[in-house]
Amino acid sequence: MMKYLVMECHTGYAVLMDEESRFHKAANLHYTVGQTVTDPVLLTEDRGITVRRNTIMKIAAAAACLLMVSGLGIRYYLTHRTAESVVVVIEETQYEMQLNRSGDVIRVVSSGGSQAVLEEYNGKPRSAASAVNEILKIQKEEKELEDGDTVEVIIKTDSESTYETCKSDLEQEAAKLHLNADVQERGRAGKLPHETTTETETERPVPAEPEKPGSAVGTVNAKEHVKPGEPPVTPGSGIVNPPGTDIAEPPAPPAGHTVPNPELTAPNVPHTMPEHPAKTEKRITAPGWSDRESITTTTEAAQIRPGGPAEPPADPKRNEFRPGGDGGIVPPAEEPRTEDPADLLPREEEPAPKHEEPGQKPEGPVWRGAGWNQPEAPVKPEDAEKPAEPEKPEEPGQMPECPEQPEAPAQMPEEPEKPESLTLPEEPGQLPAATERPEDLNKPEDLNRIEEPALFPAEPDEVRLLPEKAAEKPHNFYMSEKEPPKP
Amino acid sequence: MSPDVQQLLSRVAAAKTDNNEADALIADYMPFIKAETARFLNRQPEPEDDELSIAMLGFYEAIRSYSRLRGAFLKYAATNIKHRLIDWYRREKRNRGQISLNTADEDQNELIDTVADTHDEFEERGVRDATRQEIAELAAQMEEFGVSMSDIADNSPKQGRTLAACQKTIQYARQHPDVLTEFLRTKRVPLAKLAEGAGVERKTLERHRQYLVAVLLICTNGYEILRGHIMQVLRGGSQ
Repeated sequence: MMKYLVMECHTGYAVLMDEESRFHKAANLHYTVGQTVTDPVLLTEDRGITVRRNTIMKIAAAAACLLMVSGLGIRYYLTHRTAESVVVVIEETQYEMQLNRSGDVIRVVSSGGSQAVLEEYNGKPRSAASAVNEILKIQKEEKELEDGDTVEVIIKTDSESTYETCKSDLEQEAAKLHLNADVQERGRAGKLPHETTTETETERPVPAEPEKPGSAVGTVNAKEHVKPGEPPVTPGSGIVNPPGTDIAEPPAPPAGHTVPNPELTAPNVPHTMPEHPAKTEKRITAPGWSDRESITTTTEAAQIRPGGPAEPPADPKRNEFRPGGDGGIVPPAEEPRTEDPADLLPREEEPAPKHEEPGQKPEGPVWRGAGWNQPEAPVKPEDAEKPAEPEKPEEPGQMPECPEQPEAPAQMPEEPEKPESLTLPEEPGQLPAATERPEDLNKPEDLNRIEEPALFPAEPDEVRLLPEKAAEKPHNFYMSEKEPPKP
Repeated sequence: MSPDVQQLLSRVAAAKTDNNEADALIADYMPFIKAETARFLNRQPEPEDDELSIAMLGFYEAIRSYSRLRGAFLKYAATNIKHRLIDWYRREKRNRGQISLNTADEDQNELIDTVADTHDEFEERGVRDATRQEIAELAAQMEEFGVSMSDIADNSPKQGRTLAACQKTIQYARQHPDVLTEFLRTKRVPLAKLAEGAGVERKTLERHRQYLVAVLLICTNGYEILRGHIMQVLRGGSQ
């Protein structure tokens, strides 16, 4: 036990010295100077330090709690409130159900129709199967569906397990109601049908929700209806819209038109409802959001393509969703046919209304000389597309006419020697030595066309020939007949 | 803010650095301290009660640790007194089962009379007086250096390694009487020489300069009792 020597006594305290030569302040329990004590009541250290330490600890504890709560809240939001997949039930009315990571429906958006289903969903998570079940029940109650009808469902998800689970559940629920479920997948971050339309964008209706990463926008599953006697449209056919075959008001062709991706054009075939007396399979469509483009695409493609896609019959219901809604069906305008075999080729129309992301630049001019994206089309060296020419009057939606194609062989002409002046003009402003051009191309109007930049070697028909050089042989910039330049 | 409160706050600020002012403030607010003690004891405290001493210590502690962020001083002091009394009460609980030696039996004989007293009270009183005298001389000599006992108590090293550094310095000074001579002559602590000789950081010695003054004075001639009290330290650390 340590001994303390009383060194000094005050009114409120006493100064003690311990055996380690430390001096302490303690309570003056009637001490006298020189007294030795063993159990004093020592004065604690500066409480200011303790208070600061406690304050810092309190602040740190509060910050830690706040971080923990924030993390839990964010995790909950990401798990339960963030849409990871979408199930779109295609019926007369389109129901888009956004599912969270757990597979529960967090939001239902309807393109119209019954609100009874939407009223059920006030934020309470429910499984997709139960939601679809309720939707179908309501639709049956409202006489929109009958036994044996086929309901089309599109599942958009990046998770295969989610797709499989949803598919099996939906099929079971549909079977319980004596309905058929046609479940399709638009997953793996792929695009939904309306996103892949190749037609020029008309006045596209705004979807219920914008497309976001991790979520999806309900879209129309435009399914092609095969016209009796005509083969169906096959993907990859590179269908383009011929001019004058629009139903709605297509916008003006963009500044640069692109070759429609054949893989994306096929799903945009309009899904029309033929007035079929038989009810073996009632294909319910929702010609709503972005059908017009697809319809236009399919219709036009069916017209121009020899033995091409079947032209779907006009669907009276489509009139409901056209802007202006005059109720009349505008038959596709017949394209004036010429004897020019070049007309048989699929024309370059405006690119299909792709679901472009904001800020996406329109595709620029695409060289068509060797038939980019047109492997089946004969190679036409003169088949070149020009940018939008405001001088030429065009029908809305009508692509600029291709220059008249001479009766040239399918094979590439022999490649002449590349003149040096083509790369390095000897004099400023001097055009490279033009190659010999076919006579058909030496038309006065050709001279008025806008020259393309020299980045891409222009086709002989694009070369702006001065009158004095018209007789020269057009230069073929191809290095090889077999290898056209690739995009 | 009323003038009384303002005056009180000014006195509290002065008492933080001046021990005499702190004693005066405690003496002036003794009724307040007694009232707080009575509230805890549920009776009027006697002057010989330890609880009153504890309450005074609590009031002094409030003076030293008070700041305007804590609110009113008297309320803060009352809270501090209460906490001190509670701590004291808990501490004395272990002695509850013991009886006083002054307890009288049936024959009015106190218990202390029956216990053999091995202490030599006369001798102890003599030692105590000598100690008191040395302490008085030490305090007078420390005053020449501008140091008081309260200052040393505030300046004394708290941490073990700091205390070890100071003890090492003192050992070096004892082994070199010229350092002590210079110290007594100049009335200043040769920090540079001590830091270099003892191998201690000068900053540490500067931080505890007043403590070194007291201990170095004890090491000089005339303070045998005090030196005997801290002999363990003077021998070079705890053993």
